[in-house]
Amino acid sequence: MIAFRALILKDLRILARRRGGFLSAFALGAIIMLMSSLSGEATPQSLGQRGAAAFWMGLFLGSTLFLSDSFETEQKEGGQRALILLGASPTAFFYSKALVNFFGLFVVGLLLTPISAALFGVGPSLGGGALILALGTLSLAAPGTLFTAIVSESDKRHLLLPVMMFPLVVPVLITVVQSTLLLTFGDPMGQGVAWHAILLIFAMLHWLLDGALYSKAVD
Amino acid sequence: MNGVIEGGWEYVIAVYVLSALVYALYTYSVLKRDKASRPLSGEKKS
Amino acid sequence: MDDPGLVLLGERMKPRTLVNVGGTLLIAGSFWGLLFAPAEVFMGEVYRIFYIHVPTAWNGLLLLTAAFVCAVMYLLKGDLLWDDRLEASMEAGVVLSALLTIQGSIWARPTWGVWWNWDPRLTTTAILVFAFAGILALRQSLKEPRRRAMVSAVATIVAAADVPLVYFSVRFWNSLHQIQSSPATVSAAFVWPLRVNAIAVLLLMAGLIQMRAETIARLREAGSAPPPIDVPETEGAAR
Repeated sequence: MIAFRALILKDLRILARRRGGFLSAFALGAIIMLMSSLSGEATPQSLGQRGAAAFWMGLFLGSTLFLSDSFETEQKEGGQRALILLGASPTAFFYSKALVNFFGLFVVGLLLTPISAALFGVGPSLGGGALILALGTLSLAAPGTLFTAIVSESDKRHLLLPVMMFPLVVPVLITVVQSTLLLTFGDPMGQGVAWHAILLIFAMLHWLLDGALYSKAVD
Repeated sequence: MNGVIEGGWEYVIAVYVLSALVYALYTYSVLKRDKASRPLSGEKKS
Repeated sequence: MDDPGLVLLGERMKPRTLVNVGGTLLIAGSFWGLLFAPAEVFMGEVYRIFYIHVPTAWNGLLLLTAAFVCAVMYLLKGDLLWDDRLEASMEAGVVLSALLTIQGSIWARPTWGVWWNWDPRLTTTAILVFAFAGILALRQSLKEPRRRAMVSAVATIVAAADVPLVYFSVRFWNSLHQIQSSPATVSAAFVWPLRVNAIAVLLLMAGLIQMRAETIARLREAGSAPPPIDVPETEGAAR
């Protein structure tokens, strides 16, 4: 437990130093939302529907920039290898990094929220929005961390990560957009629970499976 | 309209021609790469 | 030593024979379906696409499933031959699945009136093509065989685990917005050319995958073999 706490603190320190990652993700997300707001009808209904999709696409594409350098510090200095040789569990290493990535992505989502509100005018309530943001970024963090670790050694990682992440996050994208729309425009048929359940299942599957596979994926 | 699709041979031919091309090209590609790799297995010179 | 439990058709027949037999059967089955099978009640002649589309679909998805099995076997056994088979199955599976997506799109035009429909099967297949093509691209950038094998196995298992989630989420989404179409029941007159083509593609792919796996193994072994020792031509030449 002490070792895990030490890993978390290490990753939080790295995250705090990686302001560039936050800025890149935020900038890309904001640009996508801006372009989406300009590329259709300006009616409240149309804007509201485009807003949900644009927010999540912006966050997902921005997240690949955020995640693609998340192992850079360890990679450069051989830190990950050193930690594992010193007895740190690779699984603990993964969960620490994934938790901190989840936190980082959640912050990026929070930063994008006022932009989305300004451009599209409508959105879910604070509580509902925070819940969907948490579920969406939780679903993204585990596979994102695993795939970032996998491609981190490749010089083409900035291309490979979005290519490999895209098929993986399709169910998350469909689900979070539908959930956001239901929270924004109302859920008379009570479908929200089913969409949230898919998100939870996806998150649980990946947090368990990816954690188990991480130790195989690294040296 | 009686619900029956009439004609449509152009779609059928398009699919079969495309499929034949893909199967043939892939087969050719595998055979060619197999042939090109064979000298590597037995003719090491020292 | 041969494992007596592993006497399967594909294991014992020469790859070239499988390719020749499969190719011949595929040509015969296709002509049968094109020219001699009766027209279908609602789809008329357009349904003949079925005789090449369905066998492509069955075998494409079977190959990607085989790639998943090879990935699991590599993680369990650590034998690089499983990685060779993984790459071979995945490559063939991506080719067939990409072909399948285009075939389906062409068939959709006269039957559904659109080139694309967010049917869960079509969407899942398209996602699979991207996922496994991405893994093949990743393999190109990893040179060390064991590292490449391990990374491919992990990525394949994660991608395959995602498939039911993609299917279910699209189906759930689809059921709220569109009426699902379902294929007509296959009657006896249509079954035989379909069976011939399905077996033909299976044999063809079995032969090609065996050859491809052997080629990959040869290239891998040649790449990891130590360089030949050359005797210097001039006396006293410094090493």
